[in-house]
Amino acid sequence: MERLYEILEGIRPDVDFKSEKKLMDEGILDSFDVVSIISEFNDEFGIEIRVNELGPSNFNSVEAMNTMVERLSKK
Amino acid sequence: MILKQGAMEYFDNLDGLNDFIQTYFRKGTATNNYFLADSYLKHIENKKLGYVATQENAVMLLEKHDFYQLYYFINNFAADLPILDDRPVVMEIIYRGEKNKPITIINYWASLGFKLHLTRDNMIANIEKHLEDSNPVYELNLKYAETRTELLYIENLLATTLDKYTGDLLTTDDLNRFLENRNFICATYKGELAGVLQFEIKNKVIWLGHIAVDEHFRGKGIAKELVKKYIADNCSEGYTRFQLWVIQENVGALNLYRKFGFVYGGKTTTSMLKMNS
Repeated sequence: MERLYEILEGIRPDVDFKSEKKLMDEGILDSFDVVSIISEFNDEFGIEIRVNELGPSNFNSVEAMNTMVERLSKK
Repeated sequence: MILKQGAMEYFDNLDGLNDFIQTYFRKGTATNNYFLADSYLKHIENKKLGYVATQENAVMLLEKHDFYQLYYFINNFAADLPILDDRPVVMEIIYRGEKNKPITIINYWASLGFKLHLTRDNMIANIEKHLEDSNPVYELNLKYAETRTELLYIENLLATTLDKYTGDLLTTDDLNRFLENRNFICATYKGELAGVLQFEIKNKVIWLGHIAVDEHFRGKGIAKELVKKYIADNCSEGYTRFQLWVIQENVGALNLYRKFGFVYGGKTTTSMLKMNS
């Protein structure tokens, strides 16, 4: 999780990722942010995210992103 | 680097798109593609999204009116790049502020015949209280569009005022939806329609989508009054977060938004255009 926070804070230093739980639903992250995050996750964890996973359920919170990364890392 | 003419293949399902993305969007790929799942699905359903690819590089093309919007996936700058040249092609390159401007990418596209078109800044504002109604413009009336006559006026005004390639011209569906949702604020000056502001609520952010004042009515403060109503009415509904994109060279608009508390939101987009013949 700590590495996730580092990546996210590198992309959006203005966002409090520890407390925000509706990052996409509240419009805090936009599509540019999400794809930037995916690129970093891809580089860092070597995961491949399917197109239909590019939505709020996987990107609304750090916990949701962590769950997705762990799930895709096992594949 | 060579522009190589190819045939466009349309995506007709998510599996094909996933295969494409996994083939061309790799570690270190240079791309300007920022679609999320809902956008992909909409474009596939409308049969507007396709691609042209070579072994290493690819472009995704979205059909828009009479031009293509291009999304590139470059894995090897020295290798061939596929493209279509039967109509104008425009692309938007987004970046986080001037210090992150992707000069290499811009120069690469310039070397392939793309010209710098427009640069826009994202501006944001957090506004919690109603605005004072100071210095009203006399004989100006602001109201939400309701009639077909007003809608037709809006359609014509936006089509003649906005940039054709990057102004996000509204489709008939968009026009009808915004009319129904009361997203058009119309300005009438001395009884004549004079301007419009369109906004949209996306994820609790109130986006100013389009604003235009008829050239015969400019210089009277109509844009300022439209923006004031857009902010005041949405504040009354409890919304506080406002966003927009503004053309960097439009100093008048930049200053207007700044007066209402808008500041640079950290993102800029540069569009590049190749007209073709």
